[in-house]
Amino acid sequence: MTRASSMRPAAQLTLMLLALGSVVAVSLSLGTTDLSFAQVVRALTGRGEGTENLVVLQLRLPRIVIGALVGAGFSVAGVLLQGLSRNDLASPSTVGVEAGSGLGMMLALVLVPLAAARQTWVLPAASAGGALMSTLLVFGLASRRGRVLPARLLLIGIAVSYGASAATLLLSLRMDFVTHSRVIAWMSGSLSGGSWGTIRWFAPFCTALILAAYAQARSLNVIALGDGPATSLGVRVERQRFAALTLATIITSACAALAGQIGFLGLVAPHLARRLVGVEHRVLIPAAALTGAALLVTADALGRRLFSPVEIPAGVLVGILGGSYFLYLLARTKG
Amino acid sequence: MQLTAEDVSLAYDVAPVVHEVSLAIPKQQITALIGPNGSGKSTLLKGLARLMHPARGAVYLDGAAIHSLPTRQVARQLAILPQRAEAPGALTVRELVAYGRFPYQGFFGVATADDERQIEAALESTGIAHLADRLLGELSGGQRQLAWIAMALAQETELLLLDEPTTFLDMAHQLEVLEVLERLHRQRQRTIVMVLHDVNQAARYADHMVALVEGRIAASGTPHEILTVATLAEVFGIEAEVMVRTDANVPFCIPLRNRR
Repeated sequence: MTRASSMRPAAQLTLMLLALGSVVAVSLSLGTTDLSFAQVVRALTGRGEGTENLVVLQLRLPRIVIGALVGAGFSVAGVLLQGLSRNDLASPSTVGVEAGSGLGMMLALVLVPLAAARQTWVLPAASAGGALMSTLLVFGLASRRGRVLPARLLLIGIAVSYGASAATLLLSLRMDFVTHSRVIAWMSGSLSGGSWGTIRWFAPFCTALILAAYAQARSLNVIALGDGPATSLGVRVERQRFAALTLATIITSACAALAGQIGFLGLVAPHLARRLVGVEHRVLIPAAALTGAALLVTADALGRRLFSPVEIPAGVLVGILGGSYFLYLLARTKG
Repeated sequence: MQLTAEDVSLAYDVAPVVHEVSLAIPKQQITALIGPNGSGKSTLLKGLARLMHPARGAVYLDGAAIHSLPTRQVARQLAILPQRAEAPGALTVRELVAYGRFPYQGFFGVATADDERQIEAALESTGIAHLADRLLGELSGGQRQLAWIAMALAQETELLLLDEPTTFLDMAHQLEVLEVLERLHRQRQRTIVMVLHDVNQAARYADHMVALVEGRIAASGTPHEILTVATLAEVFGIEAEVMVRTDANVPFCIPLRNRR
């Protein structure tokens, strides 16, 4: 891998922020009813008409904000997991976090009466609980005498993921039709449920978590050199690894609770960001957050627009776009 | 800065690899750990550098148990370069060397003028200043090893521990690495401990040698005391002829046959 550009990190991040801004602007005007930029600007500046205001401010903007936050969250969780395991293939979907959160939600839907499950906090709490359980299981199985072996982490994570997915599938077989279609919609990863009410708690929460991840950047840089050199440089590797894992788990479960299983984003977006800005985590973490946000907002906008009025879940489009990107990389790499 | 081990046993699993070893590393000298494969020399080095927690006994840095000291504080006094250290290939040499300043930097990791000076000095004294902006992935094995040594130098520690710094290098690069270390020891009075496979290199560059057999110290002393027919037979199980280079008064051996 070589540096894609020799630009200064601040310039690179500014460009990425501008790219995210344009994606958001385009996304605001796309949908079942396309609006002109003038209409979007009118609504944003509070001079719009009834329908414009409703579509832009109440339907599209909250959805885009949530998409950007969730995309940034999954992507940063991916960077954390890749950094702590020193493996670029780690992501929320490969270390068992995501499948565990899915199983937790499924259990809540089966065990808790539907009326109670509509409470806004029930599903996020179940998702976090499931993610935490599966993380503890994966880390317990991947460690020997208190030391986590990064090489085992992925293998065990994949095994636990399959186990949790199987259990999720089994539970879904006994569900009534309405709950089942709700679950399927969640599993395919959709941003359709967002509102300003959700953003009010999710935005500060997600931002705080990403800042906490950023605080680990320097340790992650050193951990990339290997456990021995990192210890030699004065990093408490096990403690750092545990802290990064805990953070990744919380971010993933919160994002999955809101938008479903889009963990693949946590693999693609960091990969793309790394190609653009390199491996220094103090640049990589913000770059990955911006890339993840832009990707998910794009995927969601395409999903709304492509076969309108039929909506394709953002998770499906992330899968298609991300998968093609990886195949393209593979085709370009020789030997 | 005095590094000592008292009754240290080290184990990866249940069975100890190093058994109740006690030793004191001579200050401002080069110590070479030698011994056959599996004798526990790398393990002992990891134990000395707090990369492994002893199953029994303790390692002391100036009288304080090394595991009870804050690890950042230890990192300003002792650096270890593990065997076959691998860094992300997308890192430049300067970035790798800059990580040596990690134990001195605050939360935001802003490099001070002193940090920059130490980084430049480390690049200079390892002779890789001209490679500073190259990616590690593009370098040869020898150049990469020098970059790692430069990182350890930027850490500015009195003690420098190296695990087989010359393995996988060709002869010229082996000598280059050892000469850098010798210069460092002579000009800056660093204490160096290294695991070496080649007993002749060990005898040539070390002031003090420690020979391990099956996790215990079989012999220790000056190169003249260690490079003897009897000790080579006991430690490596070989029959060898020992000679002395008259120009430098350095002993060397020619292995003749295996006696095991």
